[in-house]
Amino acid sequence: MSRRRRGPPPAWAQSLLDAALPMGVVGESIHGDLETEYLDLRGPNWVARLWYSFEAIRIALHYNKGMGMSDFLQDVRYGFRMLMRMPMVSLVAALSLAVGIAASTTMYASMYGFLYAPLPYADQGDLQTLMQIDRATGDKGDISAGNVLDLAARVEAFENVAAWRPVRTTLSSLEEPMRLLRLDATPNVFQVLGRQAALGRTFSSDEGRPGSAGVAVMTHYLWETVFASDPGVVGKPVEVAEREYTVIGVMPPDFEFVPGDIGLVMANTFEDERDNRDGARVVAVTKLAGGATAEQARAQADATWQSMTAQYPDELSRFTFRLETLREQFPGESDARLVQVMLLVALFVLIIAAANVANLLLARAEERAQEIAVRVSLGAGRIRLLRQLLTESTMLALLGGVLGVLLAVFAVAELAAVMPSGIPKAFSPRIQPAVLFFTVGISVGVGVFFGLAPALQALRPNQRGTLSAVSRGGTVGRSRSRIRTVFVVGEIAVALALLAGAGAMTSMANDLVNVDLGLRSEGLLTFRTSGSGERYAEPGALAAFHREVEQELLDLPEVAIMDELPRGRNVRGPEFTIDGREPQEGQEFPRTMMLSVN
Amino acid sequence: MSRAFLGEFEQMVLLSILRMGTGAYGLEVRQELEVAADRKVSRGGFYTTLDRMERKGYLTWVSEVPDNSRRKDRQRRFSVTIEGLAALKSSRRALITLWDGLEPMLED
Repeated sequence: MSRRRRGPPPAWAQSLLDAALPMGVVGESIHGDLETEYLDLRGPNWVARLWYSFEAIRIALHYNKGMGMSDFLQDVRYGFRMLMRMPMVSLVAALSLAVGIAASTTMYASMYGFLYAPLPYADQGDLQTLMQIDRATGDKGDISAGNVLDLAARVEAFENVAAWRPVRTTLSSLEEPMRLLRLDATPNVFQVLGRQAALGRTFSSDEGRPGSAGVAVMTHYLWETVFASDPGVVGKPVEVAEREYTVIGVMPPDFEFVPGDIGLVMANTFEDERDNRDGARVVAVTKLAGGATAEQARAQADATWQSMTAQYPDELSRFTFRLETLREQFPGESDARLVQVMLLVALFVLIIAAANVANLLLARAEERAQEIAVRVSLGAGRIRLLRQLLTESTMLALLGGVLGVLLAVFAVAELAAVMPSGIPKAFSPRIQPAVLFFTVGISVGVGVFFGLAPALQALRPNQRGTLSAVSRGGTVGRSRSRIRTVFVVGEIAVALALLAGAGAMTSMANDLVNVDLGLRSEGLLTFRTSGSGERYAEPGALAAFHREVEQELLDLPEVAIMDELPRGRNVRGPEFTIDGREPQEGQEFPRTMMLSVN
Repeated sequence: MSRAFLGEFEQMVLLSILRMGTGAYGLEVRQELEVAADRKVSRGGFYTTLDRMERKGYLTWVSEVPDNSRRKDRQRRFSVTIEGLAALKSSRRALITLWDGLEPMLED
């Protein structure tokens, strides 16, 4: 009864067995023995199919133990001759694969740089960042300076804690003042990151205290772009936000912070922010003490955070604390996901190209049916022919891989050139060994996976009979056409998904560019005014400056003044409540945007 | 006298064929081997051993569709050749010689 219900064994395992066993009655009888046992097997179908597959593989392995390097080299030589026999077909197929492989390689190079490339700091494994997490929203963010100073003093597993904050400022000692991103950082920052200056020196521990002389370390980026790589800049003064600093050193070209367009690093101990526990944040990085593990540090820091929360409940009860590796911080989750999606899209393009080539190989398999039938009738083993055909398709894919890498070199260079200056060079895409390893991997994978169907088709058992059976078509032809249909339908499905995704992205980008702001922006120019530095340190000084600017501008009828551009990035209005609809415990207050205009 | 000696598994295969009489088809030989020798036999190992012994001339086969079988495909019916029988005898003699005098030591 069970025999009648049993379906056929897995087709791939049958093909494998066909390919592995000797031809004629020897192969047929072994095949028949296994099938009889399969039909007599008790239990569910899936168990029987699994058993059959397992036994087919074992028998195939027994029958193909003796294949060696010389067979492989022979396959390669023969494969090369076959590719050269139809050079145009081979070239078109390889180029088709090259486009897909180039796209995948480029995206993998971007993803690798973005997610895995090491930061230019020594002992990265020992560096951890200190994060403050909002209990209500789960938002992960930098930490307030007062908390950093407390944790640095109390947690023994922290050997040294550095903190920094990027500040947009003005470099005013040049002929024309320029906007600049500077970093206020604790003097131990370079010690924690394990890097020395290329010229001059980095900070000493007594620099950066309130009232001490201003000193600055210049990044290679600013030294090269603004100071024309002048080695004499060390020891010279620069004026930043109307305060004078002495340049004490220049960092090497590979040293970068995130963001990558920091120009100057100023020493700042943040002592004047000791009481700031839930206000302005800093990036804090710690180097673990020798022998301390991340778990020990985490446990100590958690305990310290709890005692700090008990000490300052008003400021800290909203937050928890977390220690993460430095690399986990960069890039953020959404950016990481974006590059992963882009890689997936590129892989889809590769799948389409590979399915096209598989179709081409199927067509070629038909042309070569007679050749294969002759080789079979002359005694060639089917597993040998299978290996031969797979070697050919893999060689084709590797040729596509080589061409793809050449294309990717240009694409990666173009991509690296248009990276925004804020993205560190360490994150830039580049063709490196890990990327090449990926390319070889996908090339071989494509060659084997998409060469398998045409190869198994070419060696179908029905074909092993006579030459005339091959040329007549019949079952073999129908089966091939079914596989072709699967490839074509698969290609169209993936292409449609990609098209729909591309359409959605294009329309989104269009909407972003052409968004209706509710105003006519043609012919309008905008500019910002700002004041920073000691001149505006006195309370009310900055407001007085803005009033002065406003008075001057009000005389110009064609100038409108507002505190932020409509839909500007910095608009984050005050919180408000609606009577009777106060937010629940843990919920955020709603916010509104407010613009003051003349 | 044949100088060839057979491996343990080869002896078992030949003996199983002889025990099966005239209807020694592959599947039945393997099943007989498993039952009589009480050991699990890998299919791959079994079939490659048959091929090897055929090459050595110890066994031969004819291709036929058995009359009373539910299978309608061609099967190989195996028989042991004169050379195979001689090799079996030779192996047996060698073993008996080696066993001679050791029985008391190896008795349970």
